[in-house]
Amino acid sequence: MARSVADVQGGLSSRLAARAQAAAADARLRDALAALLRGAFLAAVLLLLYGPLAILVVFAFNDSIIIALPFRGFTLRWFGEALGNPLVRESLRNSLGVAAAITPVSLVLGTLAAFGVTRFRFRARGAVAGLVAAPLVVPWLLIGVGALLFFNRLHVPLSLRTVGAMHVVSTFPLVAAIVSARLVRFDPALEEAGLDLGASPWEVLRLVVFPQLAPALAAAAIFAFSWSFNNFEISFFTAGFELTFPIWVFSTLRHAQNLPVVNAISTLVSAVQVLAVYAAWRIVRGRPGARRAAQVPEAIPELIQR
Amino acid sequence: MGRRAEGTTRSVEGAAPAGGLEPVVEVVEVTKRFGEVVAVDRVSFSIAQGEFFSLLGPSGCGKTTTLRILAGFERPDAGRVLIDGRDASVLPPHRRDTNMVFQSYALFPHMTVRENVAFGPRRKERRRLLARGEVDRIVREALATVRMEAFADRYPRELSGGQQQRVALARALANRPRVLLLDEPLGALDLKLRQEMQFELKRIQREVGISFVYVTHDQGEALTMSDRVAVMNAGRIEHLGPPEEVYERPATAFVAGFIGSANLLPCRVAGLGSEAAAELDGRRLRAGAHAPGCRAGADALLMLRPEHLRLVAEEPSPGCGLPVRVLDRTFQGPEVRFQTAVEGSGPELVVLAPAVEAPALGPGDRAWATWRPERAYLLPRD
Amino acid sequence: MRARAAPGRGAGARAAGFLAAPVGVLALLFVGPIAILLLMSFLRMSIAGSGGFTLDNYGAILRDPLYLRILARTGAIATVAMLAMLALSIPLGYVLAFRVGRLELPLLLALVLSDELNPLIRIYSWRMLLGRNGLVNSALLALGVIHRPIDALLFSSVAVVIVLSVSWVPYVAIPIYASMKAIDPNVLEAARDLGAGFGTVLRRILLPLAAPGIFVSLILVYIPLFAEFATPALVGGTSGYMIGNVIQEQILEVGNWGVGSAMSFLLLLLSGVLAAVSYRLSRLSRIEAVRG
Repeated sequence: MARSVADVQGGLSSRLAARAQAAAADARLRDALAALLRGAFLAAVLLLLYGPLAILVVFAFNDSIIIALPFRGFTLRWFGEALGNPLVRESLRNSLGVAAAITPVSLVLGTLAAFGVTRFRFRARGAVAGLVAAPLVVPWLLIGVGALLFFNRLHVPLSLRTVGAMHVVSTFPLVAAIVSARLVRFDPALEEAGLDLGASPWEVLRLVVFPQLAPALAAAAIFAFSWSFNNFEISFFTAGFELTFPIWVFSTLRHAQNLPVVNAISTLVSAVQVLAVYAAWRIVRGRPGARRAAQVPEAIPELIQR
Repeated sequence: MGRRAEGTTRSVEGAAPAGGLEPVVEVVEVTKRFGEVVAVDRVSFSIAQGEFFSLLGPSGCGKTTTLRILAGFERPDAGRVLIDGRDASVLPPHRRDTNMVFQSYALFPHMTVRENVAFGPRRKERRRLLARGEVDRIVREALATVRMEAFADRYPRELSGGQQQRVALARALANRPRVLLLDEPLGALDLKLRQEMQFELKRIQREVGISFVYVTHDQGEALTMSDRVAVMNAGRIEHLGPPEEVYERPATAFVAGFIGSANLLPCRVAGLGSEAAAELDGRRLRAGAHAPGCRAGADALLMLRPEHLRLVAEEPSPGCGLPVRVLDRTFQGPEVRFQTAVEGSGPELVVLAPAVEAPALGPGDRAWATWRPERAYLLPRD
Repeated sequence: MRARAAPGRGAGARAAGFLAAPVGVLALLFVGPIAILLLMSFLRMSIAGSGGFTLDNYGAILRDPLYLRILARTGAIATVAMLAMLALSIPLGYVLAFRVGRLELPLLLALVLSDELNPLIRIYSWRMLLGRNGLVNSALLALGVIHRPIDALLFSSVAVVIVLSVSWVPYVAIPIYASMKAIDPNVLEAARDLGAGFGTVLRRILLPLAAPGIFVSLILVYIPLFAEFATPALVGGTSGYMIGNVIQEQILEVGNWGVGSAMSFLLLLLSGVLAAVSYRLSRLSRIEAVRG
């Protein structure tokens, strides 16, 4: 049977087309599988990070002194017990107080350090920058132990003040890093423009530089505050007989079983922390310099590499 | 030192602006060094009231440094800067009566357009140099001058490049400086917008009547907009004068090559003054004029601009023609470009002919390049 | 665009105006404690009081096989945890940097936020999960995967590794993500266009270019892992005992400040060495990346 060239060609091209379609379908399948894998991976990561906390929250409402399944009924009594516990209240008060006190100090010292190191070129600059960065690299345990021995040597009694002092030392370097990262990217022409338009150097700082720094400072403040609130290792060694919240949790859990009271207060604290950071994030995002603030997490490793 | 010193002398001579009134700005023997490098080398010039003055040159020639010295951001190592006759060298930028439009515009990102423009006036208001309600009026006028009133409440990041540039201009103008300094303000704009803005800037300058000092590396821009141009190279002013003069009668080979394109033929000076002539390949070629640095018998360059040359078949009258062989022909729209070489000694000669009159010559063809003798110009050779 | 730093004469003096307070605070409250640590480690401590230079403290540590064993275990825990975090973070960084589109910022925020959690609360929540009656065991039992609860999940080195990994992973993932973000996606496309399979792309492009981030995470995380003591104290039991616990015990419970400070100083030296090595490696890897 005679077949025309066109027929043969038609058959060939349709076979090729079919093969191309199959390949495309293969590729789509591969893409879909890859996407599925990615989704599963991300879900697993999120589960690892937040799962335990979620379960902790669930058991805060469980009407049973033992933290195990089965779930026995909904109750709020652990919250009542937690908030009624004088040690809990004291430790929370102390932690909040210290955090609130050290944040402004840390901001000031960190900003001064950032300006000093980024704006002037002098021989000892590298050494000073290294010194400022050093507390970030030394493990907190060692800072805590050293501080304990140091205060003892100087006959300074351990108290919330010594805790605060060490918190300042540990947080202002990262404030400095965050502010430096922002300063270094600052367009010098902006300051020159300010001078050119008749503003004195002080006015330029106030009207041109600081508004630009505001998002970085806000981020740094949030960081310093939550670092101080959460810190355990250094506080543990320098608090003497005072209680901070992490110290209370540690002491309670050290030699005891898991307690629903701990679940309850942990739930409250975590809820506040998450909300606070989220709220701060939203506020910072709303301002003109928000894009820069979002770059802060990337700026940190960059800065440390310097 | 010879020619260079002459060049410098010449620029000082040309430094007296037209108009005869007291110059607004006088720069006297200003020098600035950065480590080993001399960025600005004994530069002197003065600027008249209402003059559009350009500093033109390649990257690194010192034009931006000179501008920054005028603004007060750099302190000269030697020399003085006088504004309105008073020594401004020791004044910091915020006390000088100059304002700058930056290459990157430098608009304050956290302020609206209105607040940006009001910044300078508000500083003055603080120092009691301005009355209260004045600031708003000044801001409105400045924005109207650059036609940006509608954008007063926008933020810089919401504006296009051209718009930002106009706001930067308004911000500087709002301070009524004695002289406005512009640092390659059109560099970041695309061609069409650049050309539009060139006209806008010129219009605004005439309207406002303030002297402009304009830094650029774009010679077309400088020629279009300026009353006078200072061509700088390696920290020195090689030629200072009105655009036509800088174009047709450049003081040095560098200026000739930098402004427009030029054929520069190595030759010897065969005559000076009204008998200016060059000797090339045994031929004596007439020249219309010569630069001050030329000496009889010395090595020189004969400058012939491509658009002043014509290609003809027959030998022209002696003294204004050279035999050439065509190497290449390129159609460029309004013109046709011929790449040729002089027969014999071989230097290349570029001829630019209007497309409507371009001869039908192609690679390999022989012809004569000819020109009007007054168009030929002699330059000293380094 | 880098800010112009004012050089030359007087710069040091002007900088001092800014730096006097921060440097002063550091000199007093950072250098001071470390100096005292060093000092104490050479002090003879006895019941009668302290005094007199001695190397006994260091001797006691370095000659005691128990301490060396604990140090080795600490190293093992830290290394396993670090490797686990890297294994998790490199794909995580890659996915976040290139493959999630609009979800990038929320996911990044979720990562950062997880670090906001009080670390003790986090340790506690895992202790809840890993115990004999904890949820992991209950779930596995219910699913029939195991027939008896796994004891080793809690109060063991395994527990410490798990909790440490989950706690420090943001500090590993974020630098790696940041350095991957800096990679031009066109580079990856070009590689694939030239025929490179995923393995090749990973080995020869992603990892070398992400190396700076990896080294930063090493400095930020690996070193602190050695000094951990809260996690091992709460979930490590006796088999998860780490150097940090020993130090804490010596200082706060036994009162042997000589040995405690000697151990601390040794740990400090170790940290310093690790930091210097990582730093040097990171510089090298950057030169390689530029040259290669």
